[in-house]
Amino acid sequence: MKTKYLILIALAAIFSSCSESFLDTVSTDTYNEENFWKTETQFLSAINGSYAVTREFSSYKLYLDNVSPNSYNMSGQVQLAEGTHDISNERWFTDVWNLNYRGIGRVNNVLAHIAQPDLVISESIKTRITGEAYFLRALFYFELINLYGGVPLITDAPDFYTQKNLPRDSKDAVLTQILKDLDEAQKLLPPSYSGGDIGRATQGAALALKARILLYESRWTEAASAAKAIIDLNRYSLFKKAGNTPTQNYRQLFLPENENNQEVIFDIQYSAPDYTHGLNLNLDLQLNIAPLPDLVNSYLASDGKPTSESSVYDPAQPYENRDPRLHATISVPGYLYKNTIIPENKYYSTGYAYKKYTTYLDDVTYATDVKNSPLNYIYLRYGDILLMYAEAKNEAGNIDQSVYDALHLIRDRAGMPDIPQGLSQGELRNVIRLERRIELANEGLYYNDIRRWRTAETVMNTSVYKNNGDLIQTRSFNKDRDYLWPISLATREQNPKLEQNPNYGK
Amino acid sequence: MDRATYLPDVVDVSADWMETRDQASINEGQAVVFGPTVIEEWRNATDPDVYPNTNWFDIMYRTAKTQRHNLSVSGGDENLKYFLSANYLNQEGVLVATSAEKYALNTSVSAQVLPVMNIGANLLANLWKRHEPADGADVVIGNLTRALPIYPNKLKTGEYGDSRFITPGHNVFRHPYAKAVEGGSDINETHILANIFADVKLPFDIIYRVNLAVNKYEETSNTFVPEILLYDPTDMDHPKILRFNSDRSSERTNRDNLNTTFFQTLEWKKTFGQHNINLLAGFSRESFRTSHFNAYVEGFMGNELTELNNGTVNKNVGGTSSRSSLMSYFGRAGYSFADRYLLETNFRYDGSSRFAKGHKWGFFPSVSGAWKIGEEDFLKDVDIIHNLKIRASYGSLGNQNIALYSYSNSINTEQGHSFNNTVVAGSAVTTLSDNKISWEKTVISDIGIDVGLWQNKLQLEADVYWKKTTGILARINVPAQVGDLNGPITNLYDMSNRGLEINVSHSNNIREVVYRIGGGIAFVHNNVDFLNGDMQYIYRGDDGDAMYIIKEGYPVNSYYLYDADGLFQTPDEVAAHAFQSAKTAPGDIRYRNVKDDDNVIDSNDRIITGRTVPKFTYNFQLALNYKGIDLSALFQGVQSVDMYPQGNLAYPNYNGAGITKDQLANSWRSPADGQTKYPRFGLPKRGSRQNYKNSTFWLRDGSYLRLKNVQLSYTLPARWISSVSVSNLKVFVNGQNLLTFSKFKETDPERGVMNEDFAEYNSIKTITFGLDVTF
Repeated sequence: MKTKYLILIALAAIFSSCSESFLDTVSTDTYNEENFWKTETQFLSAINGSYAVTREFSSYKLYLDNVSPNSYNMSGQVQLAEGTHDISNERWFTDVWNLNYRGIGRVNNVLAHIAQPDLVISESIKTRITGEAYFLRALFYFELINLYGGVPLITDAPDFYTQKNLPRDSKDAVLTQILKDLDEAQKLLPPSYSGGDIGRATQGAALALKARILLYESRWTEAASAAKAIIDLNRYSLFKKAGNTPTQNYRQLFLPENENNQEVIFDIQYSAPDYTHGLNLNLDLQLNIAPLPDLVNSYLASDGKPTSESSVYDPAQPYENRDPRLHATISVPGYLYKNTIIPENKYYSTGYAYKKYTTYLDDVTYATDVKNSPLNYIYLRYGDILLMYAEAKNEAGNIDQSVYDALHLIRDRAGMPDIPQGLSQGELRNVIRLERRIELANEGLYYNDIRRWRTAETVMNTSVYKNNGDLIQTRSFNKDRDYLWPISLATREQNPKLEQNPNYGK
Repeated sequence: MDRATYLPDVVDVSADWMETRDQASINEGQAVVFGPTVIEEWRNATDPDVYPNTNWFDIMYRTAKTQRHNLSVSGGDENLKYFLSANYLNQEGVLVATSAEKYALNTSVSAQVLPVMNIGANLLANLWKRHEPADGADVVIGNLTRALPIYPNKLKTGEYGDSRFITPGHNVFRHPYAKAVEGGSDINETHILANIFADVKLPFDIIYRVNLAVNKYEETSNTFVPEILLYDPTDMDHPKILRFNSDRSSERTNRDNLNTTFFQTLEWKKTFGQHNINLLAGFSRESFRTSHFNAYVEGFMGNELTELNNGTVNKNVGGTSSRSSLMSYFGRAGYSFADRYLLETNFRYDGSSRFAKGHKWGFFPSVSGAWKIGEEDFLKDVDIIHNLKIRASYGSLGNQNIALYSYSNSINTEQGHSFNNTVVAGSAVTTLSDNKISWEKTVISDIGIDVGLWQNKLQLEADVYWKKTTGILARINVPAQVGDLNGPITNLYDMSNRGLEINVSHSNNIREVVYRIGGGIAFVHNNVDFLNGDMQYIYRGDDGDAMYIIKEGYPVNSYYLYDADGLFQTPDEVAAHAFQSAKTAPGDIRYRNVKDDDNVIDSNDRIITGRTVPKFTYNFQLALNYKGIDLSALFQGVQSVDMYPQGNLAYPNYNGAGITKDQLANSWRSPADGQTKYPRFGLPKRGSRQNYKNSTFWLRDGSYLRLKNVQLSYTLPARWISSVSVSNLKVFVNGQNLLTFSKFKETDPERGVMNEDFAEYNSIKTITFGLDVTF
């Protein structure tokens, strides 16, 4: 009897355990595409995940100016600054390409799925998310064409088999798509947000990005009218606070307590403790972006004249009686910063350090370096729009009082005298270019400016020096090659159909 | 006693290092960091706080002591058998402030409860307590490989010292000693394996066997990162906070894995005359559950109270869990005739939760046969042949070892963002998937022969095999323009391994000396057979260039490198050669213009070369016994494998790190030096990196021969000890990894070939003194 039971038990055990469903496990910590792209929450999180990519701009945007006469990095961008870069010795060539395509892939996914006909989400959210996606796609593609020229133009959701071998499209084709996306975005996006949505792309952001792109393309009349359209919105103004000195006004524009102020049109949002960047360390302790004496010297004297011509400038006290933006932007030896009088040898790289884009104040003591900074990076601000407007009008040969008015606003906030009236187009060009260099110093724009002005081949074919006169770098810029970056070796290995830019080797 | 097998021999005379660092700046066209005045001052100085010459490896490594105790009891009768053992291990790490303590208990019992039924149980419990630096040993070893001789350890006043100089790549001194001894992680691992089994004799001689097992693993770690101040001896008023991976914080993590197995078989054996038949059918299923959580908090008032409850800000918690399962049907049919002809077939039908429906199951049959020729009548009388057997087999097996849910397009929900300082959820597709993936399959064909001559005094085993793996599960590279997504894991490529293995041994005795010597050698040739005509690159190094390539017709993970052709000696040589860089000068590596399509060294000039799979491995053993004295030794060797060490200390002055004495002595300084082992000094990573492209210049022969184990023991004669009721008493001394012969001096050659970084926990050599007592 016993053995019979045992056989039964054994057989029962065998058969009871054969159920196939035993192998059907379900992930408990990820959605998969079959149950995603359904709800408003999911679409919101997908568009947020696209913005998340913009935080990675901190890996290169400000650093670009190390390849300009403004800044120097003793431990990076060496090849690019010295003109010894090739298709593989600068990680940016791969990394910047990748991160912008990462953003493009994410917004393309959002756009592909939000167009599903049977989707049940509120029309207003759908409209807004679509607008945000168009804006972000334009932003990422602009970053690419600005550095590489034409790139593969992909507007569908990522698909390995159909997209892996696509060649580069012309820069014009990408540009056309960017402008189309921005026009769409401008129609769909709200003028402003409140509360926890502040920082999302707005109508003004789409318009401002369009103005920048048109300016970079030297489409002066269109750029001027795009800039004018923003001015006419009467929504933005230069940041000022009652009772502030000009230095305070300019410095506080870039402090955490004034984030999303009236001057900000679009910024990259960071927050502590989760989503921070390391610019406090990079700019201060590590001096990875260090101001060059050439920049410091180009700040005008407080009478509005170059130091070489000014009567208020005293070479014995070179940092006195200067454009107030100097001390708001740059920490110089002998002056108070972080509650210490900065010693002569403190900034071992160039002799100076940027204050702008750190959170450090002049009169506060810091026990230790602040590793993680929550400070937003302002991608587009009204001050830039005013300068774009002035430049575009001047280049278009359409100089009128509005040009002087725009410059007046910038100079006035800075605490500097107005520029003289009645300048020629050439004189005005020089004034505007210097004003951009000073007003927008260490905002990651000057590298773009010297390339679009085609002055890089002059100002980057020089040696640069520390403030004590030591030679620190001999720079070189090949005008037939270096206005664009190469497509990196790794990128072309993955897709050999990508053509290389002129004069970069194999 | 344990010691590290290999430690880099670093330059610990600060002035020597400073000269190389300044020379590197000069070669790179940059301003010098120190200058001759400072260096001279250092050379003549005596104050070790301000002018240290620190050898950090001496400070961080030690000879460590280990104690091991084992106790076991076994016994029983026909119906009841038992075994109990207890082991204790107390081990200091060779790295300061690391230690481990291990307790292991093992019990097994079996009982014949019925004439037809035998049941039993095993219970194994391990408790392992470890102490590690708060950032983990690997991170601290990484910091160690970057510590410079100019940094002071402890000042005379007792404080930890800080660097007086900042150099590119080395803005912050991460004091390795303070990071090792202050704060730390206490890790408790508990591992319990319990199983019960029953064997039941059913009618018709069928045996039913069932085994239920529970395998439970739990790991809890408590980490406290303290706040430690470092003092620059020339500026004692402004100490800096030592940089750990996080600010002062406490973190607790818990990992909990549970694996349950259910395994049952039916077996039938029968002998009819000279025919032996053996049949087995079985079924098994296994389920795996893993889970973990962690809790983190900052905001402590001091370094004294370290519990989570003592923290106040930046609280952070996370965790997840997963499940997976495996199910198998398997069977075996064996037949032998007269114990001379043997034939066996096996099959497995395996299902895995790691694949999608319709792709879960794989069928893996195998068949093998053997002919014991030595037993045949026509050889029975040949005296010298004691044993002769010919074997052949053809078998297959599967691999499913990939991440869970690789088949499904999952949405990554860890892509959050913030607006106006309010955190919002964010998600994105970050990885592509291939829902058709299934088992990777390996088919092995093997022919072998076993020979025993002269009463087996000489034994030989030889095998020739061909192993073909198809549908290897690997992640495919995806061009970034496709949304910069991680490629899907897919059944990507096929490769084969053809090999030959030979083992020979000889044993005999000369009077009272009994000896045995033996050796073996295994050759293998690897080839990628199919990759759809495509290539896969594995990118490494600061340039982000490919270092390895997978390509049809070449061994898997072959090196893909510029072909170095020595160093330029004169400007004329530079001018005469193809263009490399505007900065190329004497003392730089000359790359061969392999594809002479233009007068430029470019990516076309890379070659597929080197081996990550050794050409052959070998070993030999020796054992001697003379009147209770035993000596045994085992040597292991690996021949023709290439290593590519990179990074700190592998490249001189890498990213702000130091140099070794070898690099100091053998770097190019002038044409008088000729072809040196290292190029002229430069700043790898931070300077022009022309000498640090992935090239054959840095490829090193990783062949080695190692005395893996040697033991000398003496067993006391029974008559000496029987009076104290001890049946066996043995004293021994054992050494592991005592000797290594290798051209590869950079680090221990017995390491992962494709792991280019030096900063890993070192292999150790051990000398053990022991006593074995049996009552």
